[in-house]
Amino acid sequence: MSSRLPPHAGEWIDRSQTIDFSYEGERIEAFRGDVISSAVMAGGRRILARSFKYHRPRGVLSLANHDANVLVETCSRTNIRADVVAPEAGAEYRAVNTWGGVRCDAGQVLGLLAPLLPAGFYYKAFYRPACLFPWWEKLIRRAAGLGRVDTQATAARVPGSHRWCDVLVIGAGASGLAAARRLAAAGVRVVLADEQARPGGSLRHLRAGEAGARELLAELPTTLADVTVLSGHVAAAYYPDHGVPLVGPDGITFVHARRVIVATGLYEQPAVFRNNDLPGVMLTGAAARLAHLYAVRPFATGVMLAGHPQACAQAVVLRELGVPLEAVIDLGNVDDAALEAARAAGLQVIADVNSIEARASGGELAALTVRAHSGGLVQTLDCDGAVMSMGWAPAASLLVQAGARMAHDAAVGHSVPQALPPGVFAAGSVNGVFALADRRADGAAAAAAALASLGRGSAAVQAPPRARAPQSHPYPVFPHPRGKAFVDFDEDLTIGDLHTAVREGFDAIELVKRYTTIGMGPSQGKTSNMNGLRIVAGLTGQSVGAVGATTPRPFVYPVPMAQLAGRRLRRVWRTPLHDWHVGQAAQMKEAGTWLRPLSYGAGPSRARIEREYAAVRGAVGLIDVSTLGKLEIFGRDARALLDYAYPVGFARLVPGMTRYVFMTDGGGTLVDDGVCACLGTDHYYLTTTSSQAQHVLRQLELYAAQLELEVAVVERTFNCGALNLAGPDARRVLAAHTDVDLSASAFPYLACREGTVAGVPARLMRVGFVGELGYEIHVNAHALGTLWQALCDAGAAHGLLPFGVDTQRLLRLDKGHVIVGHDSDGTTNPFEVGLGRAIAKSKTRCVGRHALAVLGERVTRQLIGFSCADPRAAAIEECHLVIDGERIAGRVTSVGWSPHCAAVIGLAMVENPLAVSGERCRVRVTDRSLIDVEVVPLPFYDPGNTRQHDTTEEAGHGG
Amino acid sequence: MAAESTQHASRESPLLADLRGPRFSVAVHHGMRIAERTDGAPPADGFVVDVSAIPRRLIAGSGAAQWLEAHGLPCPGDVQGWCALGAGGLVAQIHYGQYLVIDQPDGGAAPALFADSPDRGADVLILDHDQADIAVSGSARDAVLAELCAVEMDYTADDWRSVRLAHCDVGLWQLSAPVPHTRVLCTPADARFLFGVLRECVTAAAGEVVGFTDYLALTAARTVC
Repeated sequence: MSSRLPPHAGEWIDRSQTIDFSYEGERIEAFRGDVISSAVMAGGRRILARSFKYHRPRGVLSLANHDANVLVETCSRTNIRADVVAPEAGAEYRAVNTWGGVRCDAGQVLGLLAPLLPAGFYYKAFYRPACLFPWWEKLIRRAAGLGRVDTQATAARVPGSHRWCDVLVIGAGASGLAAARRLAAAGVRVVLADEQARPGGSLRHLRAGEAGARELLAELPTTLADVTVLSGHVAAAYYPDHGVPLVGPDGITFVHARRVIVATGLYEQPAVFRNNDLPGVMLTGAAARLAHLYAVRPFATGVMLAGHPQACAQAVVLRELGVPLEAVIDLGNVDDAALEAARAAGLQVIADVNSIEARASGGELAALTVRAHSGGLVQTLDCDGAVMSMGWAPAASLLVQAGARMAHDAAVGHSVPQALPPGVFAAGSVNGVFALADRRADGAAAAAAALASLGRGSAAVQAPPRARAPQSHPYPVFPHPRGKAFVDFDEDLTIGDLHTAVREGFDAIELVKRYTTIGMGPSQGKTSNMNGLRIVAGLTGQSVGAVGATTPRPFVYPVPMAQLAGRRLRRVWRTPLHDWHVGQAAQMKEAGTWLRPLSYGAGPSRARIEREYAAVRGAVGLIDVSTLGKLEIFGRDARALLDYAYPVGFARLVPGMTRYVFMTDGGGTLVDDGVCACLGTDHYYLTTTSSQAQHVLRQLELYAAQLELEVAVVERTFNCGALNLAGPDARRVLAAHTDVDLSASAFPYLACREGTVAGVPARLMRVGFVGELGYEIHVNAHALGTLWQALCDAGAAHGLLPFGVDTQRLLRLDKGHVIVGHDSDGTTNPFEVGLGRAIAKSKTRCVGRHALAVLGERVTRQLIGFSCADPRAAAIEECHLVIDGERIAGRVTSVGWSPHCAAVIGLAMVENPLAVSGERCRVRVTDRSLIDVEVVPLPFYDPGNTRQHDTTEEAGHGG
Repeated sequence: MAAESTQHASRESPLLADLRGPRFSVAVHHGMRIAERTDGAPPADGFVVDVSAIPRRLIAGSGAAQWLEAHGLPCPGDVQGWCALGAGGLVAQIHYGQYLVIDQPDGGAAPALFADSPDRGADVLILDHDQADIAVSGSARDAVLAELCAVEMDYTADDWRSVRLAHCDVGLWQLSAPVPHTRVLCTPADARFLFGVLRECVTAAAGEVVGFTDYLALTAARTVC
């Protein structure tokens, strides 16, 4: 630990506890309280990482998570922020994105190719020939980038949490502390969040020398007595209703606040000059953090580049702490008194400078060359450290996301809030207030305003005025005709890249951002956007305020994917028979949110489907249709609601009967279908498609409210389970278990009955679901298992087999049944799928009536059936195009091999000229070959519907 | 409340499949097959338990409120409003004009309602309301709910809310005594998913999965108190 300073008050490290870890293979000894970067620097290393694009050596820049210079990884985690993450004992860290390690990164050869790789080079190259692009993409991704994800590592689960409070104060600097203290005193619930490991903000390091800072920190226990403090938590975004995710080491705490005070302070800004990225060149805040918090001497001989009013004072404080600063280079915006104080403290002052450049030795800073305004005097300063005190950019991203309007204030030197949204308050430096007393007063004023908005007192506290003198250097940019002057360290973006962008016409700041990627790296422009604005302003002849600003979107700070994923909840709906299906070796598939069986048993898919198909057509089959939407429509106006919601007629629907229904939207588009059972003159039971259950429920509730109908729409989708028993033996299987008379005369086709099945209260509907004699049986969800098992047992002697969704589709395809959402899409109307004749034209009022009247007059396409016995037709899939001559005439919507037809059959939506039986057309399959198919009449199976109508007078009820 | 014969129970808890193994056996309560623990050890501080067997009915229709009053049941006036139904029962208006009635764990809160089969009258519809009902308790409960639910709740008072919990629409029923716990009522379709999530959370906090009779014992303690 050669670079440690002597112990001093305020340091965060505990010198009595050491932690051993390795960095780039080298053993490092840290103290508890260190971060990875501070511990490595304490060991004497200053090249900690390599840059994103050119693999240039990089060291600490902000040591505050405001840049992405030092990202490290272990074998299981990557992109670890070494500047703010404590080392773990025994961990083996290495820098990300190196080819051979930090010291000898072979990737640095890319620096030689820099002239060929300006910003946006990938827009101009590699796109021809197209076949080589994947190769280039792979190469570029390998050469540039951040850490590598180990896909073999066990994924972390980092549960988050929600927290509620009256006021969330973001930032625990002087203003935030003052605000929190006042709020707590008023008795409201306050959460104080800060990215640092301990509250106090810059008072603990960069502003430690401010008069009163020490006393303020000493008062912290009192200040925070009734405040919930979340240190080490970054406020990463701002969402509606004052929702702020705080990203902490243990996951995301999503805070729901009634009011929010943003006291996020400022981001220190670098100077732009040749080789400003060399290890050893850092922000003053980084040097201050190293010295104050971690007792690390950042360099052996240092120079400060001073460009704002407080710079010299900060240099003096650092020097007093033992940081070997030898000189101050006055780059402007520093008053004479400050320079004199620096001289008095023993610092050499170099004034009147208009250009600087850094020189390297061994990849690190070795000297600074400065040139004076007058006379071009060149002076070289041997140094291994340079701290940049150029000024600030407001940490206002959260304010902007909340809806605040920011505007550049030339008097302050950066943008400040001009208008804040309700419930949001700004305080402290981000609000343009700089002196410590003013920051505290501003925090107290923001708290008073927040309390007043909560109805707790009046906002009579006067806020202090904003700074009246620029607090930042107006243009800390020192171009050099040769060499790289970096604006954005994340993206290896130089001043030359911005010149190129503007020269090529990308002169609006949002275009510059997208072309050059400035501000798009992991640090989201915290240390680059301000200088970028200044440079673009200079290049376009505008003021900084006129250039505007880019939009800061969530997240302000990078958030590990594991934290975003949280507990990684993945919800699927299971029917009450799920375990039975799995136990029967069903192939389960997600259909929407539901998990459904496709088919059962072993063997190839086609064999399974044909086995189940044969059972249904020849004996009896059983399918779980619990996923259907189910609604009770009950009340005096139930019929009126249905009449309005559905275009079909209900006049002839009497109790004990069902009818097929379909729903359209106001434009006549087909959106759903199902069965409506009339249980009484004021009571209907309605089924919908599985996917549209919630939509239909919402629509019916909406219509009932709009028409002021006296009707209850009760959702039963999840409370009821349902099955369909279908096949010529269905009646015989069911008869043994029900008290309902199943004879054809007592229970005809399309009738519904209520009774018991296997002792379970049930509703039975005789519908032609798959074109066979069939009964759809609905029971309470918890009893479905009992019913299902009873029917399986009873059906075993008849050869009953369960059948899945794939088989059901084939059976329904045989009958030419339309599956809404599958054979139809968001443009299909009922006339196109053969449902036009079911529309009750006599209705004077129903949803879509006017549109349907128009659509019925000009039907331009039809859903047709086609078949093809050619073995090549097995290649036809849904969505393959139907070709007529040389043009596209439609698309296949359903297709499958029908054992009944001994051919591939399908449905296709085609233009009218083709929709004639006997016409031939071609389907273009995946390999682009064309297969001839014949348009045939629907249905493919049992055109007289005798099987589903089954009028056999057998079997009454078994009871 | 003693378990009933399993022979004629036609109803089964949607969570029964998740509670197989040597620690659990199947018993029948309120006509439903549900899991109970085979060992008699007192439950840990934190527990999660399937209490889906507790009867629930939905009263709907324009005459639902009058029906409740006529049968001596409290009637919450607002949507999302709720009233306690004796010790451990609840009436909540879960939708406009639709009332969920939950019986006490050991039954008896509203004999006129739960003794008869579901029915419909001129302007009222009475339906069995098949849901999963999961009780969560213990020191980890607050953290679990704060993680999975974005609605602020006062854990010290009895309350009922319709919320989203772990992406599922649920009814959340806070009971403060004798053991503070929360009942989570969800659809049977969500039950396995949600129970898995809650079990993971509770067991990670040193809690355990217990059986229905454990819950009955706890609520019986309420009567004694």
